[in-house]
Amino acid sequence: MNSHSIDNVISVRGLAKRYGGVKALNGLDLDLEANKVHAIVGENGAGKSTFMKILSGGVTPDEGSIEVMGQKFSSFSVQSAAKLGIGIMYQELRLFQHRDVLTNLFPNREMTVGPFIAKKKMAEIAIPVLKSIGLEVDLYQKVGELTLSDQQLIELARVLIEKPKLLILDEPTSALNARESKRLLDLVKLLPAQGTTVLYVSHRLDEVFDVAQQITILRNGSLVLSKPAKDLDIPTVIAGIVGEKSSVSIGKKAGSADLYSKKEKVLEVHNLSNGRQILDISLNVSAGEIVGVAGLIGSGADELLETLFGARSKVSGTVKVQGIEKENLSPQNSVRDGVALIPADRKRVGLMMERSVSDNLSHVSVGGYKQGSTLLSKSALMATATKLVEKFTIKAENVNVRVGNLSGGNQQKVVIGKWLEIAPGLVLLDDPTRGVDIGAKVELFRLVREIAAEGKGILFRSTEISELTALCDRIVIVKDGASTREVSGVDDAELIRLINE
Amino acid sequence: MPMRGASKSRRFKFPEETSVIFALLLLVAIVGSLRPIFLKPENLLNLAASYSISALLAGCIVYLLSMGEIDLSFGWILNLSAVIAGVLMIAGVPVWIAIIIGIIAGGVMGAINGVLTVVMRLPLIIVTLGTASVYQGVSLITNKSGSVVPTDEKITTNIFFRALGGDIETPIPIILIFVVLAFVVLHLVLHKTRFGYRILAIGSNPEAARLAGIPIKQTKILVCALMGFVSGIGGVLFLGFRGAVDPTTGANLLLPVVAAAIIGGTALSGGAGTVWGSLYGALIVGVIGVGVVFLGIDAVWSTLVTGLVILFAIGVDQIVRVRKNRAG
Repeated sequence: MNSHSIDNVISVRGLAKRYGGVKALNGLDLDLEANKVHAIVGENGAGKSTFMKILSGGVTPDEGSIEVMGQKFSSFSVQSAAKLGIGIMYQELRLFQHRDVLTNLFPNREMTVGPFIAKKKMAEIAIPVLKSIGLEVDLYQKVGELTLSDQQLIELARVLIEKPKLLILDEPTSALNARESKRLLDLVKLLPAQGTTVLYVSHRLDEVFDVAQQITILRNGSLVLSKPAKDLDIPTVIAGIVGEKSSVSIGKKAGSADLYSKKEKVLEVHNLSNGRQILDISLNVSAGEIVGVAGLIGSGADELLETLFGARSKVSGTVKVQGIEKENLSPQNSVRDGVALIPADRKRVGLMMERSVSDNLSHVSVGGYKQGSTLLSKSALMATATKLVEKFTIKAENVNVRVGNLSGGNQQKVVIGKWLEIAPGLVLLDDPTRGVDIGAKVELFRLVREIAAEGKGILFRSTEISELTALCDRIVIVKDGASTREVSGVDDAELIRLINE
Repeated sequence: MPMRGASKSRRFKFPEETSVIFALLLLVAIVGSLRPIFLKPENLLNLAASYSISALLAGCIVYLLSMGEIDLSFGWILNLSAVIAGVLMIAGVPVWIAIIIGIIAGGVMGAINGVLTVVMRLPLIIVTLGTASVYQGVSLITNKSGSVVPTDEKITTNIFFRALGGDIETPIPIILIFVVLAFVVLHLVLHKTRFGYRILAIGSNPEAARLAGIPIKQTKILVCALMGFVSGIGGVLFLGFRGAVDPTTGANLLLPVVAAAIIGGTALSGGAGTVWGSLYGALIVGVIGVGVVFLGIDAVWSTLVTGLVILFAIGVDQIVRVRKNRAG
């Protein structure tokens, strides 16, 4: 080894970024040694994705410096990040499904001969790269016809063609099954030998220990530790991720599962399957109970709540709401059966962003629910909306303000509020705190508690472990599409261990 | 700070149609100042009456636009409904029954559009690209490529033809009164009923509407059927107003009708719409069309001017929207 190999690809000093009142990164110092696989782990909101986005040029830091192979920057653009040899493979696929493999490998940087696309020249470059990652596909096949794991590899090839010095992988296995994940991980391990340093971001600790030589833990925007993997073990890493919980005090309510065992069941699910992500899930929720769903990305937990609501189709299994078996699950039927879904992606599927708070609060009671007069009285709707706004302390000047102008936390309160108008018996909360700051989070949890106290059953899916342990009476653990066990009164470290085991 | 009731929002606001009304008055004033005869009440009423059918259709296309869809076939639905009513009258069917059948036929054609768009899961614009030709084709077969002109005195002396054709003297043309009443209904249905709420909700965010339990398919079919029904009414009104249906009747309605809705302030992106705005928009199109004639400009210029006014209207609309979003 020459001296060059121990140089740092990236050194950041005092890197800070805040969004509104939230510190996403709080003065981070970190060196990434060249020709290694580095893993970065931490809870949601620990600052991982902000760090990645800064390195790839997508986000400008407020403070601090970045040194890329000896060159110092305070920030740079996406274009200059690419020029510096920083490549990023995002979690979601960004492929053109209707175009062929070759076109997808050269997005907006096609080679040309005069005015024509030089397919041959592109193929000459693409073939060795595809070979190196063991992907055998027809270059002129449409990407949409390939399997998901092949598509993921094409996404990887797309980045590798640029021969990056630093390759950032953001949860690359989230859409893959175990065998496909292994294939990808084996590839990643080979990259340092080819001169590419890898920054690997994942929630899956087993994967992290499999690929990484160096593990870095972030918490609340700061560095907890950065050590060689061989000096660490999973419990130590979990302890580092979780840290001492005090910042978010949402009050413990653990071990209360027994209280509800005799209560009426508002939801009973037996052997639910959608034939894809969900294979065999069984669970139940009693009136007044908050049941959590814990599982890694790709475990089936993501799709569970939408499937129960009827927004995604199921293949087999039974779903009983208030003791009555539901044959046809559809959003329309669910609304009439008093089932509410508060989705994670409120902008895309929860709200009418350009319409008023009042209009949005009427969404279910007027739009979906078949009750009351077909003629609407604007003043009555506004009065109802005003009442809800006051009850939930939604911060809006008045009910005629556009929902798009509210903060994330207040928008989510509108989504919850629009459902409570129909007095649902079962509320499905699908990662409701995504993009919500800590203060609003605490308020949302207070609200969820109140809803449960009114005797409604709550099924709560969250990607944040600490939310589940703090809020739920009982937690169902989902792994590889099946509900494996139920736990009650566990702490964060224990729960992370359970979903990773 | 938590809000303090709705009282704050009660202060006076200009209606959203203010700028369209202003533009309409400005256009009338320009033409009137150059040709004072234009301002004679009879002339203005005649102008309004002759554009009232396209105004009626504009009031209904607002429903489709605010749902994020657009129907290209309504002109031919209007044509075929009128042909059906006219042919039946000539065949001896009582006038009123022929009228009702014509209108119902329009509703059925609209419902077919709706069912096809829901079943084939295609945008209505694609579906109606096809059905427009189908309805035109059926019309050509039915009218044998000629005009349908009920000439029998028993038909032409029916009160329907006399009232619409202007034989009965009223201070305000009857067709105009009818269309204004229709606008009152269209406005109330869109803004004061569950049905209207659902239309706007679907146009605003279809996926959110689905998750809120809104019956999207049913609503779409109903709106399409309503568009056909109103086109059918437009067809029989046309028959009564002009006394005949040509094979080309309705062929040139698409531009003035959609233009009226857009000039009136309804966005193509869905989620918002103003029925009244489309009435003023239709009148603006009318003033341009008639105005160029009054100004002694060759009538062929009116299409060009209408096009420029549409570009101007959507341009201003977009600037206002971008400003608003920035301010928000």
